[in-house]
Amino acid sequence: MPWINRILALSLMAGVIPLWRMADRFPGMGAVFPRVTLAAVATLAAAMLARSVMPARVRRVETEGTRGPRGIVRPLVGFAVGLGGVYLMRHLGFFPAMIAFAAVLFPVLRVENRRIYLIAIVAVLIGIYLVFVLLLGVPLTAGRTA
Amino acid sequence: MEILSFVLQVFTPMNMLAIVAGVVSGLVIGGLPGLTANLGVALLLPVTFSMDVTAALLMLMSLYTAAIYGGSFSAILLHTPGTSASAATAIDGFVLTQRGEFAKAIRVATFSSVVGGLASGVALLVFAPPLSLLTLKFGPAEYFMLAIFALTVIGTVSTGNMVKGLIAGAVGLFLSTVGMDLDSGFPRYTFGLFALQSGINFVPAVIGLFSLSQALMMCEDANATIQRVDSKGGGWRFLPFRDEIRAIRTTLVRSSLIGIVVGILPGAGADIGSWVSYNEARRFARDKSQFGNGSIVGIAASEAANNAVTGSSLIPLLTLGIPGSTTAAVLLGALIVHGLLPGHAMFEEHASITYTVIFGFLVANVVMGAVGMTLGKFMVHIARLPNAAIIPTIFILSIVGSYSLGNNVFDIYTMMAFGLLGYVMRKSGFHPAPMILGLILGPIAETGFRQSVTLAEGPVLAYILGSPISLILAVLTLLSVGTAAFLESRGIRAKRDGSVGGTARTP
Repeated sequence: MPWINRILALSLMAGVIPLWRMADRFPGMGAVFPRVTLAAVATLAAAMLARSVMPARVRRVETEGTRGPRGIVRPLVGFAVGLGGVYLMRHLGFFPAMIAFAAVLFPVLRVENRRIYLIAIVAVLIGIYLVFVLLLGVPLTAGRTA
Repeated sequence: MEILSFVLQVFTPMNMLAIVAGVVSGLVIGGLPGLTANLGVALLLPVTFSMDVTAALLMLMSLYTAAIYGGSFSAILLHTPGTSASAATAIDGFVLTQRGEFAKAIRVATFSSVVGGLASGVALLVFAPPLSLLTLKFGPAEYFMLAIFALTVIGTVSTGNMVKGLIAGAVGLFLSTVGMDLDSGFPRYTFGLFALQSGINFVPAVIGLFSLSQALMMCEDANATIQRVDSKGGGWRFLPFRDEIRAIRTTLVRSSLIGIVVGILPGAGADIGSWVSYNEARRFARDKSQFGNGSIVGIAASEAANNAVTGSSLIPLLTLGIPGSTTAAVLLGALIVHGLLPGHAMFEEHASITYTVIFGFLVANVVMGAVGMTLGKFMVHIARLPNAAIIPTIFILSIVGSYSLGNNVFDIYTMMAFGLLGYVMRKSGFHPAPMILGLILGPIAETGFRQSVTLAEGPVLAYILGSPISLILAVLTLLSVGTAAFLESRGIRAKRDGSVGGTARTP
């Protein structure tokens, strides 16, 4: 964990520099508040860096979920599939795109109980149609084929 | 007579429907281990856009209180708290389930939750209006300090690592500066994107940070589910027996008071109230050996306190704009989205909405008890749903919720970006709540800061600290940071780490 904190702290401090420079172009008092917040971020990141170097009295688990890089592969693939689903929304329309998204997500999640997965997808899509389309009148994307 | 009209407004079909919908959604979300009240409020927020403001707030507040109560079902039936606020309930509740007395545990938890919720609703009704008068004395300096105080409180309480909490809050403040500068009209940090000129939209951000990030967390173990347990326990009835009420009545009063006090303290959530109350009940008990062995007093202590937090955490929220819990921070955003600003105006200009919502909150607690006892038998099936069924549901609801905000695909991309950011934050020990609060309070803080700079005839800091209220707020800010730093250095808070953001499901 300390090495992650160090990388994050250094990244935050490095990230502050270009954002601070960008504020040069802001007229009047437009640059003041962003720079105050950036200064706070940099100062706190420096504190996090300093703390990560000091020996901790109590070793704490700060992260959530599984540990190790392998654990994050499936969430990232799932995220990419989600992005694909959003992209497809414009071309296929909301409902076909979400069905395609769920179909692609199925092997990614290695679903064991297919029946519950299918029921959940159908139920949520029907629920969305009833609440968002019929009740709230949200014009969900129809796609280019419509 | 005006009060009576506010009470009657609660019982309009639309408002009652909103309460029931909020309660049922809250029970389901609270009953699902890993899903929190934050996530529920974030997901339901887009549904409320086209609704009447009163009904919208009633739905969200009903969801909040029901989600905290709903966590007790999986705590009692499966030894897996649905929300971190019900962790103490699991200790004695599951022992009763193992003994085949789960119906007893559920009815005591339900009765206690309703009593705690009602007590906090009364506290909200009594304390909020006079406290709101304080905001009449607020100027730019006070508003700036108030925003900073609220941020430091949430930042220091919502994570086990104070510095990370404060960083998340500061980044949230920075993100609030993205978009057109209101004074000069100059686009700040928009990187040429037209869609960013109006700033980062709060709703997609909150859905991404709380909901999508949770779906991504669940992807790590997609087939995790709760092990099957025997949840058959006879004697299903709505109210506890007289001797059960007699056994828990003192605890109910004490725990409700503890919950109310903890809820009013900015940033301290239902989980803290629940643990403090459980420990106090144990301390006052004649027979301490009962605790951990199926004590209904233990269940009552935990459940009365965690629901007592819900109403009282709205006191600093509605009066000063300081959220009493992380869910209240999301509710603050909901208020602003619906055009309401916390403060005295809530109790004067918008008195009809505010009082109806407060009375509705009381009604919601009663509805929660009735619906809870009706659905209780089925909650075990909901709580045992595998992650694989919940993940695509959250994904799809997050997408449609973000889109429905302005029928704009850019909002979905914003939500996805914040979802990924939220996941990375949670994996590296940051909690999203301070960032959301930074996004919400940023414009208030910047306006206060700018006006202070303009009004100050000398150093800005001297001007800001020149008023007694902002000086008190500055001292409170230092105290909250100092106390958190002290407790952290002593390692006292270590045991609370990981308690925020939901409870992991057992594989």
